[in-house]
Amino acid sequence: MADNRGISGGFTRSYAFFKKDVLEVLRQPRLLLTLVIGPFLILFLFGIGFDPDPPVLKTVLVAPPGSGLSERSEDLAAALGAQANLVGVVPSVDEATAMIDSREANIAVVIPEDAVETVRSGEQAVITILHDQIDPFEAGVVELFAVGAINQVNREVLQDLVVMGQEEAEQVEQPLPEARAAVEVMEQAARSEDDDAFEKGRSDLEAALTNLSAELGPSSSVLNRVNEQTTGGEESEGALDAAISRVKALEGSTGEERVAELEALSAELDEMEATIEDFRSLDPAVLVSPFRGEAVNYRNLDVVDMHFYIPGVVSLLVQHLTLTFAALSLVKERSQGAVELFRVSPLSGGEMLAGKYLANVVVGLLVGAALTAAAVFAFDFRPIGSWLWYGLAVLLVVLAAQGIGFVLSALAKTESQAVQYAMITLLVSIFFCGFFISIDRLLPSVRPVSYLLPATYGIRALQEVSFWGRAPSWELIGGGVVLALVLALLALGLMRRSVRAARPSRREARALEKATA
Amino acid sequence: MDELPQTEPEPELLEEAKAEPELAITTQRLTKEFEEGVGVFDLDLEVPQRTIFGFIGPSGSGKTTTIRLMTGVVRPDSGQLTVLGKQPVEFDRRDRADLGYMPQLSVLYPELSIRQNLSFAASLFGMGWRERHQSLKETLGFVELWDDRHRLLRESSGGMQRRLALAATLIHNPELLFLDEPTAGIDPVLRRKFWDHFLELKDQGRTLFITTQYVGEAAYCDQVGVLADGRLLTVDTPDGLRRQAMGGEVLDLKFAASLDPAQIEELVRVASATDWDQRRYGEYRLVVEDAGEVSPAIGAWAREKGLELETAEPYLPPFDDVFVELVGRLNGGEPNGG
Repeated sequence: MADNRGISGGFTRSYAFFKKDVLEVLRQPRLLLTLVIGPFLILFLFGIGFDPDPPVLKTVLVAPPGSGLSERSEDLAAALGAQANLVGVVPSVDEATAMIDSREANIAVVIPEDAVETVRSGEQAVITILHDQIDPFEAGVVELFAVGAINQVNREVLQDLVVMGQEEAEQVEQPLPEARAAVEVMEQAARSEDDDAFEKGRSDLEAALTNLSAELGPSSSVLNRVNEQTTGGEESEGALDAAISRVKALEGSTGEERVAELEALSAELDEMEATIEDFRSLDPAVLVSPFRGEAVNYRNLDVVDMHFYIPGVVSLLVQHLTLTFAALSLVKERSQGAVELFRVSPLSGGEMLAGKYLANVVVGLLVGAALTAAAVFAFDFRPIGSWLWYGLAVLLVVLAAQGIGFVLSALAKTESQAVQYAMITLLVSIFFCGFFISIDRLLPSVRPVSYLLPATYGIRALQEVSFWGRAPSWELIGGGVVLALVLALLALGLMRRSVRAARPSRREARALEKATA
Repeated sequence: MDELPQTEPEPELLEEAKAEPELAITTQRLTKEFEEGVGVFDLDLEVPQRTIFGFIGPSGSGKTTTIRLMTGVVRPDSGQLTVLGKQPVEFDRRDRADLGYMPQLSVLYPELSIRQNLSFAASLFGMGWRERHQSLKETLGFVELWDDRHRLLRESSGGMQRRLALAATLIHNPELLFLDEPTAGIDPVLRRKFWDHFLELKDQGRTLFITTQYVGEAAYCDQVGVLADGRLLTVDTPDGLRRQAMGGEVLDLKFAASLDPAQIEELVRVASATDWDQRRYGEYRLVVEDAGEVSPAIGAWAREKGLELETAEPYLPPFDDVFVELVGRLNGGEPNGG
């Protein structure tokens, strides 16, 4: 008689399930090809079809009649940036929304009729961006575009003002030498104590500074800022007006006061000349936007957009296929009556589970290897970390996914139900495992759902191996192992109950005895 | 036909047989009710070892439920059940290895070959490679599938699949076999072969509990239980069933001429017949206690009366008729016939 109870008997039974399940899958090459090539084609299409750049928006400009904006539409479109593709200029909002409704345009940029007056009154003029997006992500893209475009418009306006100021600054060449000449006359008059000549010089200087102030106009405040930036000096707003006041105060002054004051005025004129020169030579774009941002990946990780999704696709598909195989294998045994035969045999639930786990490990790893090979050859995907860690991460997904599969099989009565449950799990995974949306963007109260999914650990672990080139963190591995163990124990309990013969509970046994007596 | 390894009764089984006629299965008022009126009720039967016990009944009569109770797959609601000396719900692994179970539906795997399917079945009972290899060869030979062993099951005929299912039941050399409608849906030639296998297995010292809807198969059994609506109507030998169904033995008489009523009345008295019927001109069917005993008396009476009795033969009614008659009688209906 065969050894039913010993270790060898148990091993024989487990190995029988392993061999049977592997053979059953491998004998269906068409099924395997469908399962591997199908997802690969999806990946391939996604890879060649995915455009990481923000979408170009077909833009219609709403320019009120008489605003003169229609003539400047090209300039405005350029100011909105490369993301905006101007497809038309219309006079009313209704016409613009009609174009959006007919898909001729994606957005409408509405310039207010009284923009200049609003700004002059000290308020911001509102440029409205109209759209009809319902997709929150696409709506977000439009909102980001609005913020960026308006910032760009504001910069363009400021830049125009600066250019105007620089042009005006060229006109101050005449008053400035006149002021210098007047200062020299005043210095000579002060030394010769010629009050009349000093007074005439002072009068000329005052006239020249007043003239200079008028020439500079609004640019004087810009100049003050330029002065601050170039010299690191203190707040100097109103320096020209202060100089004029001091010149006026020289009327009736004594000899020593005159000399000291004239030296100070001469130095200020030098400084003013240098500032005007700086102002004229500076790039208007730098003056308007002195700072720009630059994000630098200090690890020099240059991940191709397509490659970023490969760990997600591999983890998700390995989880889905392993889970489906596991669920179907047990439901099939049950639906064709094999479980009844197992109950009559000396088989235990643990032996059956061990065999099935091992078979699914082989099939799951084969699927993972095939998908990864496809990614390597078709997309030149090369993990920079160890292949061993890569394989272990896939193994972790395979082990944990099986547990879910076996638990689902306990709930499913038919094969189609098992497939439906597997599809629901896939849907949950797509949203919660970090495939498209980072887990960090989920509320903490919802994150436990993510941590119940094997793909969550798989994606993160494969990303760490593939892109950072390091072993997955122990928290990640530990979490995945704990999940796999808990699910395996749950599956074992369900498997035992499924295979165990109809042994009555003590209460039922007593009732049976009583009824028989 | 090839044979299983144990073509001769196993010495252990022979010893047990000499000691006392042990019972493989006993039930007392065994009841399992699934829903109102569906299940088996108050089942009382005894199945001796090394016999074939046929369990006959229409579809839904409770045959499979009885097997599931006996194999420990389901628990009884009440009553007592002992299989090989233990309650099935208390079976351990060693006990289970003594059972062979062939379910009604095929539980084989289409993607595996015939040999791989049988190897899987053998492995369930912990048979190691060497032991399995030898047993596979012998068992596949027994069911005449050795030459087709590499054929995938999905490419095999229905008959081959049933033979493989039988082989999977025998592969671990069990003492007690439960075969749930093993001949359902197979052609008469193969059905006959199956029964040849079963008789051979009985000769090897095994006990077979076989359910069937083919009433004619009762003739192969040592004992037959008739089940209807979850209740055991009767248990008897095949001959005993005929006797029960017809009220005794049936004797067909053929005279050269038709008998008049007075002659018929006298014939019934001489034969102690409990029933009679005229089938055709000069042909009469009598139900008697013992056909062998009354035949000479009838012959003497005919000679005395100058009647020419051409033939006097016992009639063995088909088991289909026996079953219909029995169900009618035991269920309280009117029996057919005269």
